[in-house]
Amino acid sequence: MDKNTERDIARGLQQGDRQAWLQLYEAYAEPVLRNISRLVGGDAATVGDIVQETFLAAARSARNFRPDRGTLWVWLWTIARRQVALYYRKQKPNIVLSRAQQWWTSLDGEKFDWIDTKADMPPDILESQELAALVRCTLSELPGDYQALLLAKYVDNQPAGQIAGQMDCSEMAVRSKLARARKAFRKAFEKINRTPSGLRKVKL
Amino acid sequence: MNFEDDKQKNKRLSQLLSVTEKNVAGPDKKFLDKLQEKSTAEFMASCANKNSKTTLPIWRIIMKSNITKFAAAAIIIVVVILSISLWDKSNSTAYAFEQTLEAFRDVQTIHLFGRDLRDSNFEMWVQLNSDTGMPDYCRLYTPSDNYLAVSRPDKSYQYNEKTNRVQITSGMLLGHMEFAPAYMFEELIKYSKMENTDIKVDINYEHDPESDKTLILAIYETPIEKWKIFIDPDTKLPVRLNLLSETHRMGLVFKDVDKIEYNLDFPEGIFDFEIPEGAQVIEQ
Repeated sequence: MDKNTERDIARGLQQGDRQAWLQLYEAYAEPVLRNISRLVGGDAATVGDIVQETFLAAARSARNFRPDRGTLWVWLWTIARRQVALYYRKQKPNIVLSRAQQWWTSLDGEKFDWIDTKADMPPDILESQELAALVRCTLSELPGDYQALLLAKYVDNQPAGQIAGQMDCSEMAVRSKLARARKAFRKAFEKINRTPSGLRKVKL
Repeated sequence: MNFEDDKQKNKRLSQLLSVTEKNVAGPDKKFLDKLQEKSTAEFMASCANKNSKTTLPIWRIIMKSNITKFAAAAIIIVVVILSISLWDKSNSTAYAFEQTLEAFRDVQTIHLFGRDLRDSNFEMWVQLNSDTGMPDYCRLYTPSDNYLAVSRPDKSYQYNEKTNRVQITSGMLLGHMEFAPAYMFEELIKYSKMENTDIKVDINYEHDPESDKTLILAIYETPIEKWKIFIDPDTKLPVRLNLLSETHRMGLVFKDVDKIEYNLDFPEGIFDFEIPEGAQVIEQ
């Protein structure tokens, strides 16, 4: 979205302009849905619930959107990220993750070499549902801007320039942030595969 | 791991992250069109004058998923029944639960005092996320247990003063720290619209000598718990809660909440935590 359109929509939202909301929705409904699907998997009803909660929450707070705090995409994805985190928090216990962790543990071979790019990941591993569950869960642990960056760069194959436009920053800043996002992903992936799934209950 | 920005490594990371595309269906146009309609209406409703008597629309496209199951965690619950109008005995002012939901939209912080199931006093501070209504930050102190918990989006801390032991967890703490009355309020609206539920509500009034007000009193019962909820007739927000019975102890903490204050200015650093000197630190 170019800066002028972004600015017009932002102003329209603050003024309660219906057309502004429609423009925002048309621009971002599909990308939000796509990214949420990537983070929680293919169950259409679950994805639909989260997408719905995201846009209803956004609709309620759209009048208070402040352009100085970030772009519309960043704002919207922050809300979506929150809804995804809520979804994962409700998976108590997270059986899918637990099984995926057990599967990972049972694998032969130098697993972290695959991540360190010293060796190719076997195709059957790449195709497995368990790996998808681990990667999704890892991504959901990251801050929203890291999630959005990694998905935009490595799944949507967007060039750094396009990502910079979405986030209203320089290409240099995007590359720098991507480096930090990759590091955060690796750390989170290792942690996911070392700790029991999902449960961080508070006990008094 | 060495994810430096070179072609081969980017390709591998791309392969790894692309597994998230597995079994993901394309966008459902019918669903998106319907959501466009609903979200637009929600946007327009939120922009409408707050003094308007228009009923606040709470819509949901009914999905088949289980995501909206009522949580058994210890979260204070505000009872909602749409389209019930109640008359205050003293001044015949109509009250409807939509007003409480609307009032929660302006709540940024909550401060409460109460007792837990073991009759230990606690004090809690909560800062809500303005977009989602869920807690972003929470602080809970139980002096008789020498227990302090600080829940934050990045890291959370649980500290025992007596043993000088700190437990650090990544992300927010779960369970009773997820104090989000507006969120639960919306969930209950959903339940109130469903038929054949086990949720019962009785509404009455009770004079409160301390405030010299006639408070709206809701007695709310599910198969696992029963609550008394006192609502201020002026602010439309709950001011006191009492748990009358419960059968499901997992995660349930609050028994009585004697005082609830909204939108106070919290002291600077209330959600920060500094590890005390000499403390044993456990990272999870």
